Amino acid sequence: MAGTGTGMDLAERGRRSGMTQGRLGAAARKTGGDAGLEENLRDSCQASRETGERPWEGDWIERISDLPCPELIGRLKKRMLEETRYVSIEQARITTRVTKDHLGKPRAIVRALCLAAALEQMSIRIDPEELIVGNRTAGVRAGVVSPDTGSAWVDRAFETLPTRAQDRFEVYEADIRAFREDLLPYWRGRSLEDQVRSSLGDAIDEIAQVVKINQTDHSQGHICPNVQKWLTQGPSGLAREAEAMLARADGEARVFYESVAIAMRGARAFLLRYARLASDQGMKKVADNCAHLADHPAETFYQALQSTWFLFVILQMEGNASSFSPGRMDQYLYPYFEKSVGAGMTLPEALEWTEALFLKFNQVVYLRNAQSARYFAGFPIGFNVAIGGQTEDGRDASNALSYLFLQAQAHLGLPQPNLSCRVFAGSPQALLEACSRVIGLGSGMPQLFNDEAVIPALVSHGVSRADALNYAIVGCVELTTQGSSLGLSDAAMFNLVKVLELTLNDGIDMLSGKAIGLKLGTLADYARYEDLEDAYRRQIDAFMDKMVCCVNGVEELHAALLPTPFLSAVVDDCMARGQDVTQGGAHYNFAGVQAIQVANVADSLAAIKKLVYEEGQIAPEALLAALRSDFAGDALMRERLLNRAPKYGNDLMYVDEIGAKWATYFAERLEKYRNRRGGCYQMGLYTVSAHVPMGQNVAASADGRRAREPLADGGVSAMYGRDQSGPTALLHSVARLPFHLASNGALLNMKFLPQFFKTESGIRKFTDMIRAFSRLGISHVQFNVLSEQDLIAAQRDPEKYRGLTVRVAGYTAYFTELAPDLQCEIIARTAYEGV
Amino acid sequence: MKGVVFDVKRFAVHDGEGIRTTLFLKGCALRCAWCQNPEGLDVGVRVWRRPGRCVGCGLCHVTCACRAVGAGPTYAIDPEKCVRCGECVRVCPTGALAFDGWTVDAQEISEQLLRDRVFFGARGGVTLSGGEVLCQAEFARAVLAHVKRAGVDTAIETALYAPQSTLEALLPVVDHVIADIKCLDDAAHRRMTGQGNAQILANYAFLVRSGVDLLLRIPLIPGYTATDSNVRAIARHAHSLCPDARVELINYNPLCKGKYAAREADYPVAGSALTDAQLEAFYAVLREEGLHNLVRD
Repeated sequence: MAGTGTGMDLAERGRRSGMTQGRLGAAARKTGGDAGLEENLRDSCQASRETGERPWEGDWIERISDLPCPELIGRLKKRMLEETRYVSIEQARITTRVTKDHLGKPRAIVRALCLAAALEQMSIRIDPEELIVGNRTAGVRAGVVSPDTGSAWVDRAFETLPTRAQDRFEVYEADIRAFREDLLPYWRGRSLEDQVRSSLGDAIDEIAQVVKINQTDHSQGHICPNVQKWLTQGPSGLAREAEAMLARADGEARVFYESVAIAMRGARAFLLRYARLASDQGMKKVADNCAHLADHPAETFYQALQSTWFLFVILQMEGNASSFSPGRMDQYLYPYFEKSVGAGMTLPEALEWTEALFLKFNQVVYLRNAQSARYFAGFPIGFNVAIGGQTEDGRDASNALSYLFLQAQAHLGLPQPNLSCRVFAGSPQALLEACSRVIGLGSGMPQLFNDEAVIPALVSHGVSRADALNYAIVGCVELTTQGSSLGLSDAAMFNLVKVLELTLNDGIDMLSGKAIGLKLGTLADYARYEDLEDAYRRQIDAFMDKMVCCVNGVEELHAALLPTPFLSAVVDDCMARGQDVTQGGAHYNFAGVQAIQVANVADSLAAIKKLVYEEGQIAPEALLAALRSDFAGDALMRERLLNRAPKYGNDLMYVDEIGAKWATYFAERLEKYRNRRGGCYQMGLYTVSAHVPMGQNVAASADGRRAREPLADGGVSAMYGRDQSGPTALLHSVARLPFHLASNGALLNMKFLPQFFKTESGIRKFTDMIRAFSRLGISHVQFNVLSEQDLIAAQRDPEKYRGLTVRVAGYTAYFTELAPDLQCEIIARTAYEGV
Repeated sequence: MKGVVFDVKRFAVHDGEGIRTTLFLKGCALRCAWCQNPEGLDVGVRVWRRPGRCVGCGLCHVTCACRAVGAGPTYAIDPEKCVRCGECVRVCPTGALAFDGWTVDAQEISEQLLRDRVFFGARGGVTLSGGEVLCQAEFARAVLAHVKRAGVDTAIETALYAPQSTLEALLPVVDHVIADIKCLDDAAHRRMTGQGNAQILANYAFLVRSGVDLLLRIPLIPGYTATDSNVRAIARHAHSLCPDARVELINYNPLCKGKYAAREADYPVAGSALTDAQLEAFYAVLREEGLHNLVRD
């Protein structure tokens, strides 16, 4: 069934089958809603029965949410998690050998040959009961070494991998030897990492205390490919397309098309190897799927899931990078789902295959260097799946698959896929309730993205309305179009809090004593608050200029060293232009820089403005001395800064506007730069876990934060414990930030107690809050549901948890202000209700 | 129109339907032994110390011109000497000292209560609680009228101890009444709260007749109200007035002990919160007495 359909006719089908009404009806009934909606439900069931359009009838949302976790999936999950993670150098050997064999050929061709050889030669494995097969190594969750991108750090860190603080891997002694004797010598000086060091090392080091330049030792990730194109053409179709284009092309484009054809032929061989292996193991259905997909488009839902997984495995083999994201999987898989339902597929079958795929998303993890592992802790690889949202004509796009994916997440509770739900004004109540129930389980998913904020932000950065309506998410929270962007969303992180420290201290790093910023004076020299702001602006400008030079330099090296033909075949418009993504072949070319961290900047400047300049409560010299000495001998100064100045996150205009002002300044200035591929830079407001190492770089700050302590978490969250007016006040504060400028993505963390999700009325209130979040125009939120351990931590470290409230009828208490025995009672209650 | 309040609680999720903002009014004529908001009893404002915040710097002691703040380590405040000038509150670097209430204009506080309108959705709104709402009925009426004019849902939480005319005057601006009946026996009620319950029961009957959306709440306080016979008696009474009465049992909340410590007062209730099983047994009593419209959040 070639060309089953596009995203559009998929949506059209959903509408024609009367699903929207059915969905609302089910929601109304579940929540004891009004009779009108129930009537609607009856009508729509009646109508569907008469027309025979609906694949099934009645309360399908409830039937999906009642589906049990398939037994087989439980077994596969257990086995997967029990398997030891090893470092793997198998592909590194192949890459090194093939590269040496083809010296002198264009890099794109060499890279394609390396990938093809890996696809043909890497050992493969199928576990006896697997439903979806394929991996980039025979072992699951292996740490894959890519010497062509980064080998020096692997050399330095190899022995520490089993014992380092974050993201450990076991290693084979023989592999370490082989790596050092056979691989490392060749790549020394040739790898991306070494090339970056030799040509940009000094420039990067010069600004390292303020700016972290990323993508220096691995290839480009954070990309959402055009999965639909892969599903409908498969490796053979794409190889044929490349060959046809090659016949008509000349110059550079010939190299590109040839490299794509080589990569796609390798991909076809890979699928056939799996077909043979499955067949040898007596797994007929798996074998048939693989063999079919090698030469034909996917036809069934099962095949489409398998095909999707092969795409991501191969992308990870070509670019050992962080995050290739499936994007709007509930949209492009829906036609297959609907067709298979029509052909007799049952819901339990659909769920089992889906969960088999979800398990697979956890089998690829990412080996980062130790520093990077601290910035992005917990092996995040970022297979981000976005459900819900809107169709290209602005209607509700959610469908049965949206609910099926939520159910799969409820069953598995694993870190991948990174499940996201797009919400907008027209999101059905049933979808929000289903999301809330899964959120209440505590996996932090689905995280929510707000179309009302994201779409205008993308449009104002040059994305067409149709593409913006079809946006997806890559990595953690970075925004992208589906299948047509190279966003370079993690080009760099810019530490605005550190720059403020330098501004207060005449350009001198308070921790090291080194002069690293402009010499513009100290806090004591700025007669007015405006003078301080002027100096801050000039310091920021100077670091931004240097940062952009570094990022553009790194991009130059990616283009020269790491073309990615396989990826380019599934990112529009590379094939049409005959140009690799790293060269600028994508339709959209962005580069993203994260501004870090709004809360600390706002709180620090508010304290200085109010206590030093407006009220004169604190002398500038005294504040400087306190910050330089990390409040040694002046604990009361810290108390004043903490308690006598307004804090971001409490719906206080005074401080919130300071945060908004500097985020706006940074974003607007950033957008004036051009990246190497001709697109613009754009700001992100997120850190993942980088607030910890970034904080270690910063001396005591005027918000009362001690030296080297973490900065505020997330991106737009308040400093922990300082938002003490409840979640609605926090959301009002956050909403003051310029989300229309944060088109690279923003991240808000909120914490809730599990009790909230235990009752239907709690779930309904939670959905009211989600709708308010949407109306307020905040682009992202994710919810941490606190565990018993979290509360014990709050008991030990009250300052960090001051905002944590416990709510009962007519009464709210701050958890940390309760007597220990009462805290224990809450903990016991939480633990009990958490069962 | 001015009033005295002691808290604005945003994201109140147990004070009526939906997400609400609750305003707590100061002043109450009852003296329930277990009162969970002791700062709401007296309509006057005083300085109190928030637990856990004081670092013992002594600035309050040296600053107080009236010598109302004693020496360390307790820095106890003598309410007789204190003239509520607030100087200690202003100098306290940690925010440990605070007034336990403040005077506000009805219009101004109403705007503040509507701040979270975007969260109220179809079900939420503004709730007035206390203290006792009916102690500042005119102020309450002014606030609720303003909120209603803005098209937002209103509710009051009340113990009903006030003249019926006071309650009646408020009803036009109230969408939902959440009313407490603590104890049905008049003498016992007087022992527990300092007042008899005749007025309260009369007001409850009046509310039933008025047709306002009414939720009856019974607080379950160990050693006081949480007995089979009391709950049964209240249930029977409620059923006799309206078999379809909506009723919710409110579990004892021991969290307020900290507030008593902060106010240097003893807290008389021993026990801890009821277990789920105990709570369920009391709900069973309600059902046995024929009540079926039971609320359990």
